[in-house]
Parts: sequence; structure tokens; C-alpha cells
Amino acid sequence: MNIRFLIRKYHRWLALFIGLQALIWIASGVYMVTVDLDYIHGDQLAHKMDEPIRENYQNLISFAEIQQLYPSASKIELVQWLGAAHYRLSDDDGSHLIDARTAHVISPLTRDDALRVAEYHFAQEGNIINITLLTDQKNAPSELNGRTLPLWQVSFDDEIASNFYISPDSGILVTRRHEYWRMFDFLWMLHIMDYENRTDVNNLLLIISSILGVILSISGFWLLFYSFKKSRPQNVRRDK
Amino acid sequence: MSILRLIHRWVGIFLGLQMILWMVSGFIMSYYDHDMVEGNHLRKAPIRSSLTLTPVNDLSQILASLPLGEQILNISAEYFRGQNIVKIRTDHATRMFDAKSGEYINIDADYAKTIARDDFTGEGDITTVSEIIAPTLETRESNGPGWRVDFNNAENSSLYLSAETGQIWERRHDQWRQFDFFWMLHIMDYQNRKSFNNWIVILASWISLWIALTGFIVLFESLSKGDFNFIAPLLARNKTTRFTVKSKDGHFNKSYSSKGHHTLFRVLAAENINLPTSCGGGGTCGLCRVQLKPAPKATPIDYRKLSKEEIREGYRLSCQHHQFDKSTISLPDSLFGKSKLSFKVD
Repeated sequence: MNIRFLIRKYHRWLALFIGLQALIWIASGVYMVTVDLDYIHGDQLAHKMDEPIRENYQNLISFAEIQQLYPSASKIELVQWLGAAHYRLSDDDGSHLIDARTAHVISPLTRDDALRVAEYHFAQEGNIINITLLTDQKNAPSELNGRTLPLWQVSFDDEIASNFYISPDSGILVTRRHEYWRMFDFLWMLHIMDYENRTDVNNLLLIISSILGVILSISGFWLLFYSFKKSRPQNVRRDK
Repeated sequence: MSILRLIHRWVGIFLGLQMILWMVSGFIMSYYDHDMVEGNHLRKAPIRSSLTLTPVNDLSQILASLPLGEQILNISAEYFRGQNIVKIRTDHATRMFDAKSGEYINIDADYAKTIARDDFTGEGDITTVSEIIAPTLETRESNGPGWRVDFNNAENSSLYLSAETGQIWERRHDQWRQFDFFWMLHIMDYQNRKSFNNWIVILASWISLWIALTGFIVLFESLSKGDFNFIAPLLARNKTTRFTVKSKDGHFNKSYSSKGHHTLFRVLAAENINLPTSCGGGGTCGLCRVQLKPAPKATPIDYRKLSKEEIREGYRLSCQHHQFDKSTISLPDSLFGKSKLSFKVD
């Protein structure tokens, strides 16, 4: 039996085992390269994310005053939040959001606050259909990829079922999700074969499958080469 | 050969190679430990300071020192290497000042060296410190001015840090560089190695999808043909089939018997009758044709490689049909005319 016969046979068996995965790799790859990554990240969904501080610092409560109010703060930031200057600080109790004009403590955000943040940043057509405060880490939606709760989940009725996630402590729009992102994440899971956490690219299943994939592709290429050889050499005549 | 066939063939070769590259690079990327590639093993655990911030004095003076026309995006009071600082990020740059004195903190080459030395846990010393003005291949995720600090350890580590904030951007080393090369091959962005939304990879992946789907059709043809059938060979293990092999002109005529369930191509090969083939029994070259009597039902592969007339005359591809009892296999005379081929006749 010649070598080509062996490779042919072997390739066929390997294709049966790894072929489906190879198809999944290619199909998921097609999606991931074809759909624009910025779109996947939801850049088009949100705007006014990093706005300059408009108020004059002289007219605001100073850093020194905030420090007096929160002596254990390890970091204090002055940012523009919903169109006005706010202090965002972290101390032993976590993050806090404070109005820089009145020292009024905003955090933790109420349902109305979350609604205002979502409406302020949402850049597409659509209405808010649901607002939920997520607190149960164990039952957190998988699309949060293990982000720490609590978070306000704000759902829109747009075509791609967008969700905004807003931290009640810092007031930050932490992340946004939509159908194309969910599909990407699902296909990414299939691509890296980590069906549990969708993050570990060093899992054994992937390593073994990819070795088999290497063998499959090399043997397939070898066969392709042979198929290219002349179909009808002279020494076999068609008997008429 | 027509130009279309030529193009088809070369596209096939290129994509076949790319398929191998995807598989090989995919394997390497899953094999290389991700934490290691990211350079986390080079990093010293950050020291948690439990200090409280000292009051920020005179922020307005610092603000007044900023260039006109820059819009302030963020002001923060925090620690930097045990020092109380004020960090101001504008739409142009990020600057750090000492919280007490208001003095600008300049991260020069010497300071960059100290920061890198403190962050680095590996062996070796700093060899060179160089300025980063525009993002390089190794700092493509970061913007703004920076420093590159090279170490002379076995991994050729390079630490990159921001010249504005002193933050470590990247911890690069040889394994990362290898990984990055394979990443480039995987996403086919040969210039920036950054975007996998480029048209080369989009085109290549779509065509590959088509190839893979057609491959699956071939596979299922194989399945239906019984290549993956375990039961038939098992049942026919001890079954003897008798068949006659003769040349077209009747000059050669001999009876054989064989056990098992194999393709005619294999059965004949076992009897030292080597039919020509270039594809190795895949049904793609059409060389292993024989005339069968009685003729079994022709397969789609037979139809692809043989004319209707030939099929009516009982020609089949010997790699596509299994041995069966009381069959007569006629071989082309040309096989017997060659002196190289000799048949064992007891």
C-alpha cells in the first residue's frame, strides 16, 4: 500500500474527529473577522463618555475640602458626570460619587439616577424597557464576564437588544452588551473551546485539538497536491 | 490549462498553506501560557500603601500653569510611588505634580530606569533606555510619549512605561515576540498586527469556509460509502470472495480468492496487481478504473470520473467499490503490456 493511500485513509479519519471543530474554527473566525470589532465593543451605542470639565475649579468644592470630609480616601478624582463636575473617590468603603458644587452624595445611584445615566449616554434610537439592580454575584448574567456586582442593568428595546451596565457606586457606565457582542462571545467560546469561562486559551482540549488540526491541515494539503497531478497519464488509454 | 483553472489551483495552494498556518499558529498560541506571554512573571507584586492622602494645596496655581486651550478631562489626587500627587489629564496630555509643592514631576531617562528596575523581578541589568515617541509594534496598545528600558536577561526583556504617568505599559520578552509573530500569521495583519478586521483575513476566511464545507460534503460521501462502517468489515472478516482477473484481450485470465471487506483497489494491490493512482484512493484522479462484471451500482464519484458510456460498459473506480463474490475484473491491456508489471502466476 503506498504512502498516499495511507495519508488518504488517515486524513479521512482525522477529518471525522477534528473536522467538525475545524469547521467551527473557520465559521467562528469568519464572523469575528467580518464584523467590525469596534461595533462589537458597542462604540456606536454610547457617546459623551469622556467629557471635559466645564465648570471653573474656583466655583467648585476644593480637593482639600473633600479630603476633610473623607479622610480615608486613597484616590480622589474630579470628573464630568452627566454634564456636571463630580468627585469620584475610593476609600475603605468602596467608591463614592459626590456633586462637586454641593457636596451632595449621589451614590449609591437610585433607579432614576441609573435611568438618567443610561439616557444620557445612549446614542441610538430606542426606549428603556427594564431597569434592574443586580446584586447576586452567583446569578450574574454571563455577559458580564465576572464583573463585580452590584450593577444597574438597563435594557433597551432597540433591534440589537442593548444592555447598559452602570455602577451604582461610581456612576460609571461600566460596559454595554448587544446581540452581536453576545454572538461574538458565543463564537469565541467555540473558537477557544473553553466552554465554561470563555477566557482560558491554554486549556488542554484546545491544545490537543489544535495539534490534531495541524496534522489534518498538513495531510490535507499533501492530498491537495496529489489531486493536482495530471489526471490521465499516457500509459492508461481509454479503451474505445 | 485555462487561466481560471490556474487561478483556482494557486488560490487552493495559498489557502491550503494559510490553513496550515492558522492551525500551527493557533496551536502555538494555545500552548504558550498566556500569563507568561503577557510578562506577568517579570512583574513584582505591587506594594499596597495604606497612607492617607495629604491635602492638596493650591490646585488653582497648578491649573494656571497648564497651556491655554487644553481641555481638562480628569483631575485626580493619588499616590505615585509613595508620593502624593495631582494628576491632570487633558485632551492633549497627562501631567503629574507633587501635591504639596505643586512641582511638575518629570519622568526622565533616569527616573524611567528606577521605575523599571523596581517593577522588574527577573535577573539581569538594564542595558539601554530609549525614548518612545510614536507607538511601536511592541507598544501598539499605548499612546503618548514613553520609555523603553531593556534588560540583558536570557529572555531579552523590555519594559515600556509612560513618560507622562510612569505607568508600566508592557513587559515584553522573547516569548511574547514569538507569540506575536504567530498572532500576526493568525490574523493576517502583517503590518500592524493589530486589527483582525482586515480584508485579507476576511477574504481568506470566507474562502476557507467554503473549502471546509465542501470538505464536509466529501466526508459525508465517504461516510455513506462505508469507509467508517465498522460492522461490514467485521462481519465479512472470514468471508471469502472469489473473483477472476483478466486482461481485456483475454490473454491473461486468473481466479483469486480473498478474505475480508476491502476495496478492489486494495484487494488487487494485495495480489500484486498495482493499478495506477495518483490520489491514493480518494476517487479524485480516476486512474484506478476497472471493468466489472456484474457491474455494481455506480457511485457519484464514478459518475464524476467516468463517462456515461463507460459506466454502462461496467467501468468503475476500483477504489470506490468493495470486493464481492463471483466477480470478473477486466483490466486495461496496457497494464499487461508493460514489462515492469509482472503477475505472480503459480
